Amino acid sequence: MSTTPMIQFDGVTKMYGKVLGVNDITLALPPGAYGLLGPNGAGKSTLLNLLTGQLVPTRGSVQILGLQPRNNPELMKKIGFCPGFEGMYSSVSGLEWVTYLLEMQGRTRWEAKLRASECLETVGMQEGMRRPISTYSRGMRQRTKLAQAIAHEPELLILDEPLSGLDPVGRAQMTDLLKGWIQQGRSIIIASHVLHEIEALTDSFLLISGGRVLASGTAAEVHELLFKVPMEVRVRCRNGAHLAATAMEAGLVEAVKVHTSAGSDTVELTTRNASQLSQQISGWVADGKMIVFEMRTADDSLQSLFNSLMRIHRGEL
Amino acid sequence: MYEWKRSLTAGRLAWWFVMAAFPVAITLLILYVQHQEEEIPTEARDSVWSVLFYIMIPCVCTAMSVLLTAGPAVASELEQRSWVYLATRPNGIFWLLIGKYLVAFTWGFTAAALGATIAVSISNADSRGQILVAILALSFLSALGYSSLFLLLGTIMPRRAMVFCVMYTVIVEAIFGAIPAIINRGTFQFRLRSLLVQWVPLNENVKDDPFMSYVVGEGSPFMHCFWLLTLAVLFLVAAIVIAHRKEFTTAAEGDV
Repeated sequence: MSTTPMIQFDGVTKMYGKVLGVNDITLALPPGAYGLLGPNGAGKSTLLNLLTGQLVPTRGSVQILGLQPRNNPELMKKIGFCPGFEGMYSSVSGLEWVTYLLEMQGRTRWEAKLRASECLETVGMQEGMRRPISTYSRGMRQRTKLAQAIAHEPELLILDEPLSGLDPVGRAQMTDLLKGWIQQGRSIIIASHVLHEIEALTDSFLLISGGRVLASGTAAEVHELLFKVPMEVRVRCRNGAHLAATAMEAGLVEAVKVHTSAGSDTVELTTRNASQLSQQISGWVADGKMIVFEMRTADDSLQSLFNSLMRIHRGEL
Repeated sequence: MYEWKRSLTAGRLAWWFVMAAFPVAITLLILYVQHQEEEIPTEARDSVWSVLFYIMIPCVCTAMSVLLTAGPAVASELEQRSWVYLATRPNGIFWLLIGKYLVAFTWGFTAAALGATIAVSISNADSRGQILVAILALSFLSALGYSSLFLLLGTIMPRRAMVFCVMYTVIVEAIFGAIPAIINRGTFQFRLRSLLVQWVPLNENVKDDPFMSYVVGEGSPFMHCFWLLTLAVLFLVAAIVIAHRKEFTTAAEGDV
């Protein structure tokens, strides 16, 4: 088995004049499925442009499948890219568009047309593939973009917001399609700012913000990283002040915030050991010391991890 | 083929007809004026018509046609954000620029050929056949050269491609091309003018005019064709190299 990483960034920095795109990124990812998560302006587009060879690093080097991505025809045969924007020729049909791009991959016209037709059917475009792209809905354009990315059967698929613009049915279909792609053992990188889109496809991810990769690995690995990081537990209960005081006395929390309202209070507890605090609160409820309506740690949500990492990055934790 | 098919739009066809009609309209106007006022003297007819056709067809009709197609070739792909789809294909940028070049050449030359055929046929020049062949050949060379030039300028400065192309044409091709110095040898105008003098039936008085020795080159037509084609290839190669070296990111501002 090859030991060459699928993606290797070695001290990569990209500047746009005085604006920082990505900042000193070093990582090596083996083949697999990865989610690239980050808010708008985090550096996702820059990272994808570096991956596809559209940008040259200001410092450092990038290798994809063991090859330099910039102006590399060999690599371009092995990667499929679905950009976050549309940009397809609106006057031609989806079938013509995908056929044209396949011809650029070296297929004959006949082969390209046949394969384009197959791919467009795979993404659910059998009805509209012969109509001009200008008549397509956003979802249809998104499917056509995906078809052009997978048509030449690349080793690595790079998708920027692939589910954006799709209706719920379309999202489910596309998610199934991408799951099938991953199950075939192919590699994929999906950039998104919507966490559940990625969670549905893979649990390996990179969190990026401010041009830096804040964390990488599986959700469990990132949890380990966060073991000593204060987490927030939110409790809705009858007597918020009592809960807050008891938790402080027990030495389980570092900060509390009580929101009082008619009928119930909401207490935000900041703790370094969320699981112990949860067990303790459960014990107090069982002993009849307090009445709790709801307790939420959001520990298993990627959003929680992301928020914590962002706060660390900003120096708030 | 794909680029050609895609370029067949109503707007582009309308421009093609306008370009082809331009020399015909001017020729009709000149014939009308001759009919009303005074005919061109017989001995000067071929010279006058040759120069007029040269200005109208290879210089204006062909150059304008290819300017409209090759000038914004890169800018249009960047503006509609299709560049990245092509750039992430093996040799995608190379084939894109070659396609744009061939389409610009084809639009430019065909408009000029139609315009020349009609305009020369309806003129009252004595050597219409010889003039037509010369003008067609000059239009062919003009389309080859200016397509590569405008493609290069559009690649260097895609955001202001048309303005840059027009400015370059006026300053370098028109002004520098007419300066009797070594600098004019690097322009298409100089080569085309030198070929014109050798290929059309010009009056001996015109050929022997001392001024001509400054603005046209000596040497065989083969040499002028060779240098013109060399310049065209150089510009085309430069456009391809620059397109590969530049970072044409299509991310929207703020995407980072």
